[in-house]
Amino acid sequence: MSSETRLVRPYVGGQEFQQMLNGCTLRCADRTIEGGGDVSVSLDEYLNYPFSIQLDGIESSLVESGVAALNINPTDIDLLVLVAAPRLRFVDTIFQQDLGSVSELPDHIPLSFPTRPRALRAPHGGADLRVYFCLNKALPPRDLSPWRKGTWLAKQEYRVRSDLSGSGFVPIRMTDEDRELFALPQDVARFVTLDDNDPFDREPPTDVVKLYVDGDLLDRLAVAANTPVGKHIQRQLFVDAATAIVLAAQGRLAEDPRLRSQHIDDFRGSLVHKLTEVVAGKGLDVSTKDHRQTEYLRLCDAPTAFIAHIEAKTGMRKDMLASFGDI
Amino acid sequence: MRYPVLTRSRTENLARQLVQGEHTPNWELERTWIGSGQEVNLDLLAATQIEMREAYEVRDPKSATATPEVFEGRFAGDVHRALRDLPIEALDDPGFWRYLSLVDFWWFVAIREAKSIGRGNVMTYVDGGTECVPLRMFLRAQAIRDDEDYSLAGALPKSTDFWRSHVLRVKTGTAPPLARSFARLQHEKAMVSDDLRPFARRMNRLWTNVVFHTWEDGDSDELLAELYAEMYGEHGSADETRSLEP
Repeated sequence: MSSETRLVRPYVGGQEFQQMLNGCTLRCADRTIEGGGDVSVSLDEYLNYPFSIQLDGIESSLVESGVAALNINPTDIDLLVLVAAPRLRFVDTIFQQDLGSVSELPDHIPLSFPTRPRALRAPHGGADLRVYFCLNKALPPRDLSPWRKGTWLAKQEYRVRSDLSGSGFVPIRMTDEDRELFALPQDVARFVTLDDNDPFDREPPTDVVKLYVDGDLLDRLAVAANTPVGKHIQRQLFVDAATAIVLAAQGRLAEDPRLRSQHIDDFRGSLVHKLTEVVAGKGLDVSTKDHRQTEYLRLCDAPTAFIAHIEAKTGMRKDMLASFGDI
Repeated sequence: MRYPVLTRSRTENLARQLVQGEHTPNWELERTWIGSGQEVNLDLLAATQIEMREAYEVRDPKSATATPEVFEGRFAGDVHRALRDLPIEALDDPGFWRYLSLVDFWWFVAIREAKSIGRGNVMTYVDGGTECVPLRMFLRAQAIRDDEDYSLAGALPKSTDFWRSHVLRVKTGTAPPLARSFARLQHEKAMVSDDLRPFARRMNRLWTNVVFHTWEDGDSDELLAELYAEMYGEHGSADETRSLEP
């Protein structure tokens, strides 16, 4: 299997822009984070340490060949840095400059001086940092060419979370109102929905997976969370949520079969990507990337087998056996 | 700066007491403080709450514009104005929103979510998450704020699902010009759920390739008009005899 990761965009040419951002790194305290991805820092680091974006890969020659391939002007493209607060739903523009004069672009964009972005003062919700090359105006529409204002040509993103940032999903107590809303029978124990959210969305809302659990069951679970049966049920709920994501992904794949031909790392941050990380790990080395892609193809082609791999990772078999006790 | 919070477990207990109509808790004893120094100023929020409550008490209960849902939109801008300049550290803290939910907004939460609360589900609306009543009012107003103009927050009747499913829970809510255009379009076209949902889905899919945070109102108005015409024709096919939401 090929170990190359390629980003597929709905137009031809311009790969030079992604090539330039592939060299972009996030600096935090004494750490350098390459290639995008999730970053966990302590509360102190989150609130007080300097953060910066390092842009080492931007070269005039690459910009020139990129704009030539796309047949657009460098002044039509911006380098854009956004910092978003996913919990409070705001996005601040930290840097925006067109590529008219590449030599004047900074190779270092501080995120904590002179003013720390609001999201980096919001440790509960975390911060999503995104760097783009994108069109700064609408161009005349042309087939297989970017033309809509804001269309991105390249992207790199980092999710920074602190000790206080929440993760995963929290079960919601299922009420009669919920049963009525979703047309569920009275005796249902749990129900998972993504509403209409896209499981390939690279920036899903924080509570995108809604896991409803019967109130009586939730109450029993709260007092028996650490017993074998409690652990078994919790792991089963996780598998239920994963199954809902796989089913939603199957729906999207049916709508848009081209998704299958992409590398799963193109959807970093999405629910589907997170599931492949559960099975194959989060590493950025070639072998782990290949493993994620293998699992992604399994999700596409053999979804029940993929769910079995997820279940195996939860360690549920051991808890299932333990829940029998001495019987 | 310091701000008041309620822990999740205290909120659960206190909310249960409030639902059961027990005596009002002594908030001085229940709250804890985060930070040090001067307290955040919540005077403007208190004034907003008085105004909102007075307006609710003198409403004509038979009027379609007097429902709790309408009040949520009508006063969302005032809530945002009262809180928008508070330190981001407080606004980011779920404990702060739990405090506001029980201390300042409980009277309204109890009315607005009476049906769910009657079925035992209260924490969803007071726990500082996306369904938390004061937070969702704040976020709705933030999503459509145009300088001091918050009028779009209350412009749509029967719009709970519009705001929750198609603005606040998706990325549209993070791009005010797009959210404003969407609210304006909905105000004009009054798409029913069966039309609104596929329209919103098409709109959401565009986020895959486009950074809408660089857009202005004119860009968004043009795009949504184009999308609407593509899906429903120039004048739309929405059945205007149907109500907006169930």
